[in-house]
Amino acid sequence: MNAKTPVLVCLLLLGTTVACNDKDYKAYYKSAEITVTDLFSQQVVQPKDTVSHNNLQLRVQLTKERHLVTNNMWAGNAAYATSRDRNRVTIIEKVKNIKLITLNDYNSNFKAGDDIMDSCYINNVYRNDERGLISSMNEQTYGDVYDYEISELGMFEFKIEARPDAATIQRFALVFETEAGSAFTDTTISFIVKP
Amino acid sequence: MKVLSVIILCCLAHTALAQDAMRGAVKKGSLHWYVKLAGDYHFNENDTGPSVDNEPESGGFRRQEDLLTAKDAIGSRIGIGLQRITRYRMFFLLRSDVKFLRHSLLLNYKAAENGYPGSSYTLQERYNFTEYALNLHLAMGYSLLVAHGKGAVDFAMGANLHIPVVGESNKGELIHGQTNNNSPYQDAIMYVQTGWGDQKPHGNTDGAYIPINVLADFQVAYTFNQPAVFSDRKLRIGLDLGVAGEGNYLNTVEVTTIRANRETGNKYKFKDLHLSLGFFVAVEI
Repeated sequence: MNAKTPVLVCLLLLGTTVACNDKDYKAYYKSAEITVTDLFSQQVVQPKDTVSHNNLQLRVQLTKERHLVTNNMWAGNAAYATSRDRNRVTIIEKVKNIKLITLNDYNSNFKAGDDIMDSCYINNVYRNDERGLISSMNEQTYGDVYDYEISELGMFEFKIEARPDAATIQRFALVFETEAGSAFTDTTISFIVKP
Repeated sequence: MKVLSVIILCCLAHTALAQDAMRGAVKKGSLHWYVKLAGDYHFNENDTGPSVDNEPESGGFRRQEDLLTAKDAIGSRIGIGLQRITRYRMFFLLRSDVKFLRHSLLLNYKAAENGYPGSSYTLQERYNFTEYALNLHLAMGYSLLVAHGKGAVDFAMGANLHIPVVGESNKGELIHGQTNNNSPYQDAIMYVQTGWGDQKPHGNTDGAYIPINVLADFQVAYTFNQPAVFSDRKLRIGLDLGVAGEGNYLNTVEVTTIRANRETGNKYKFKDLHLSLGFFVAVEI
């Protein structure tokens, strides 16, 4: 055996470990920012503004915190490899329930403190109901390595189907409850809704 | 199986180099094989702390300095090596050790110091992990004969390739706590990633990465040329000092605190500098 043998064996060992993998991200929802928009004027409703119920839309912007996780670096993994051009984002804090709480009396059915979510029509690209929205929020997503938000749910809108009894000042709190017993919330501005 | 592969690889390297050395041994000096036992004391106190890439006391909050602490650790090594001494008393050392080292980290979270003023919530958690690594040393030095040739004081310095052969990562964990007893909800208070051994460092987005730490290695040893206890086999005892070069961190534990309203807080890291002082005994074979 000559001195080249260890080098060759080393190269062989390195060669056997080369493979491809995704870049793994773990993510949790950092915030949900809710804004009130007027569908007729296509403007964001300002505090004390009046909006017709038919044109009322609530828009929710979701943001996540992502962390790249570590990879094992020996045989059976891709530490030595050139990664596949794909990112995988896994949500580690699953959303369990979504509530839209009326902070003022809305109508005879929904008093202050009630959850009005069952009366909402959700508009997102996946499914138009609360369960579908939750499923979309929790699912593992993949994206191009240069734009890993390509398939992630970042924003959705919804409309409240129930009408208020009268033109009243309204304010809502949006609460995302998680399976871990935590929640992330946001509240709208105070604005007037006309029936 | 992985460990065995690496050990076999090292044995092959030893054999090849030994053969090369023995061909010229008569003319150029002497060659000695040793088996070795060693214990290392690892200084981990300075391996933890808030990350420098986070602003201190950002957002008007105090920063908890002792959120993540590491205990000093004691490791052990067994290995084989060869020493090639020239007629000018210069020598080369090549040795490989298998190293065992158990780390222990303490997470001591205080909500009041991490964005929840007035909260009495605290959380303590300990992370333990045992590292198995292969160390390949290559060093050169000078052997100074003393005591009329019965002994020699060796000084050597070189590089140590520290190759972890096992490792583990928790792949990221969100930790919750009841920071407000009057709230029906818990708060997300920390994101923790523990990774050690042959793991790619957190945040390393490059696909390729070689799991080797290059450590600087210093050795002072005394060689008994004719010890009474081992029937004329040489005996070496001495000290090894090792430290990692800047930027080579494989044992990483990251804790990112999360303040009220899920605002990202400070980041704390355990980055193993591999600063260690070892005592070894080696017997010629």
